[in-house]
Amino acid sequence: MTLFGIEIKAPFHLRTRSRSWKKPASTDRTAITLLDLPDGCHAVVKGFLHGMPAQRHAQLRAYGLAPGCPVIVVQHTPVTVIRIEHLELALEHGLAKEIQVALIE
Amino acid sequence: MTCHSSPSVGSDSPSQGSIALVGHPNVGKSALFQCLTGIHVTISNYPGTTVEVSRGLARSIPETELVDTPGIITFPPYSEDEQVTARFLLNEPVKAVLQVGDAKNLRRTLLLTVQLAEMGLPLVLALNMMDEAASRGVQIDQRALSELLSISVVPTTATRGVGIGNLNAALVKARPSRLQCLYPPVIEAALDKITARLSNPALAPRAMALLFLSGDSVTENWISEHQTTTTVQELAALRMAVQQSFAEPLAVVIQRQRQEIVDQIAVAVIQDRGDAWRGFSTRIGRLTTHPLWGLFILAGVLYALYWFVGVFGAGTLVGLFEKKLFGQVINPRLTEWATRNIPVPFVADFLFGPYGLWTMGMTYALALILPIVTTFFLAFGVMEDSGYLPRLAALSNRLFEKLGLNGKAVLPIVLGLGCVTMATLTTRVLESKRERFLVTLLLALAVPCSAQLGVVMGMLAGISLTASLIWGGVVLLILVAVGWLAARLVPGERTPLLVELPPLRWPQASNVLVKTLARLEWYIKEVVPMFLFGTALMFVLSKTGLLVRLEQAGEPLVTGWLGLPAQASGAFLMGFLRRDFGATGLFVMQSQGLLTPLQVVVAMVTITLFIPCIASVLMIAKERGWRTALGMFTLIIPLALLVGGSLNRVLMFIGWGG
Repeated sequence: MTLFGIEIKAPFHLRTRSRSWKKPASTDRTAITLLDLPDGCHAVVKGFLHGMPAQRHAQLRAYGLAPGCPVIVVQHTPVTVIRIEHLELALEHGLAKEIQVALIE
Repeated sequence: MTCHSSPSVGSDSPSQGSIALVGHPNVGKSALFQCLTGIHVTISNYPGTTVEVSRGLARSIPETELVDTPGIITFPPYSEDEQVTARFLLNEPVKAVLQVGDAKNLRRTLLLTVQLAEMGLPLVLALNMMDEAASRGVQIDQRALSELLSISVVPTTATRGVGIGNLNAALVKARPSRLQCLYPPVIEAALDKITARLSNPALAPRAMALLFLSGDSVTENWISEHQTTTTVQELAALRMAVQQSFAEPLAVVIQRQRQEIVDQIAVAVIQDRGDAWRGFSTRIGRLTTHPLWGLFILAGVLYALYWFVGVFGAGTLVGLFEKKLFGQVINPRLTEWATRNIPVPFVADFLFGPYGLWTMGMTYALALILPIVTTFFLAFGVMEDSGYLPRLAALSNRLFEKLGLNGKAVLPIVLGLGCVTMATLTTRVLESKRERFLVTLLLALAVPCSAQLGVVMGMLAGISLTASLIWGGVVLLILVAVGWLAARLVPGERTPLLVELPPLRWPQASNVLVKTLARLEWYIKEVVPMFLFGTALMFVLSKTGLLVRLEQAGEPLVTGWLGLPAQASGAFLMGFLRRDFGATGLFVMQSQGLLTPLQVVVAMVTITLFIPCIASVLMIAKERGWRTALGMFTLIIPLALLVGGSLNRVLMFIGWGG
């Protein structure tokens, strides 16, 4: 890649793997949440945890995080970062835990 | 589908309302606003709030005002910033809405377009950042989109001025959209009933009814102010009855229907090659939120900020303005002129005496604070436009979680190290009143401004590293302890962090400069009067002899409890005017050999925790109200003295620096 005509090489291996990630306890793929997915994982949003305030729900939808929407998990440390189409979103673990997803093979 | 019959912008008389720029945060609204208006922009707080709204006259549409509203994620609005946009659309005459959308994230843009279309106002959609969309392989069939939305859709790249001519032409011909979303029959029936009951609605009745059903507090307030009590009660009962038909909240049901329309439109007009997330900006962006490299970058950014605002602004520039320009040129000449030409000594003293409006008030405002805020606004503008601020929030979220806040609180806290007065203002970026209160409290209590920090560090460095560590440790401990405790005592829930990480971009120099100039104009109009008021107060206290009495009254506390010499009480009183002045008074005492190392550390800890300068006090009162400000100071002053006195005893007990 070049910047102002100068060849630039990325100095570090950018992929970060969350130390806190553990394999989801549940084997039912529809029941896992965004927080259960390791970095780099592709998934589809299935829904939101029951009881999430309507405003929060609407806000997530406004960011494009709606059921059926494909997401990519970028990292979990220090906060969860996901990509939805061309948008990158940072959300804390408590919120990531409220978003149910299904893994894409 | 229904067709509204509002006239176009071009057919209205120029005086009938302004054009409102509405859009998500970080979509280039300000850059587009600047392209459409030029440099004659005024930034003011929206009435009753601390949220900035920029206004300017359109360059190419005669006698038309453009208003840059705060970024909004969705309706109903969530934060104070977003509520201002909703209130603006409801309460001010708006002749057209210019929605600025991110071309590469069209689905998200269209979700807001559908809501704006429902409002029935003439609407134009500017698909901004087309260059980024193209570089990521996103192509939009703009003609098909324009037909589906039945409004003008103009592709733009505001940073390069691309598409501005077409946008101006489209704005003149702006018409309401005919797009209408159909909702489940129960909601449609309720909408009919609500629209029939609303008299003189501010927006299209259907849009207001939808906002009401979605639980929008701004619309609820408008309805209670403009409709009869019976209507308000009937509407509330109706909403409750409609809610019974759905398991999910109505806002969610309504939003889902809109999402379906958006998906249909998006499929018809977007071609995405999927080239996203490549390139240098993406790699650097990832590094900034990396758990390790992100911290190194953060340290570098903080150091650059401290150097630019703290060292260059508060040190070099203040020295140049205060000591050289005002101290050696302007003030001596004015004082000399006053003694010769003003016959009444009281008036001369009021203007040019030790507590004079010019010699103290204006000198502080122009020579001490203006250089700091200028550098601060420039640095803030660069950080704002580069897209780094949301990354800073993500990195520091875990720390602020412990203080009952989220990562967005890092911004005012860091800026407090530059100037607490300005930092108090930036608490507006926080979402809830509770968070704004907590951060203001921490700023007033334990965040020293750059001017004070300079004096404190200089004094402690003259003793030992241990002295600096004791001071830093105690102040940090109090900050965390008070923050932790306040978070548990102040009612309300913590807002979890949810923030968009926009791509990192080179800030545009002209945009940063225009914003800085507009903010400086605001500073001179809003903050300078506070300095003058503070100075007049000190003048009255001095003339009535109350200043001396207050110093005398404080002596027992200073000598007995804090273990400091009697002269230190004067320094603490001056510390109220400016904390660094208090510290400077103590610095003079130290250089005269009147203070032991122990007394220096105790005095520095106490004065750091003491209330900030009078401008900050007035700013806190203005932002949070006098009751809250008084409550804070009732807590802060005794706490500062309690900590100082306790530290004195602990250090004496262990035999340090006595």
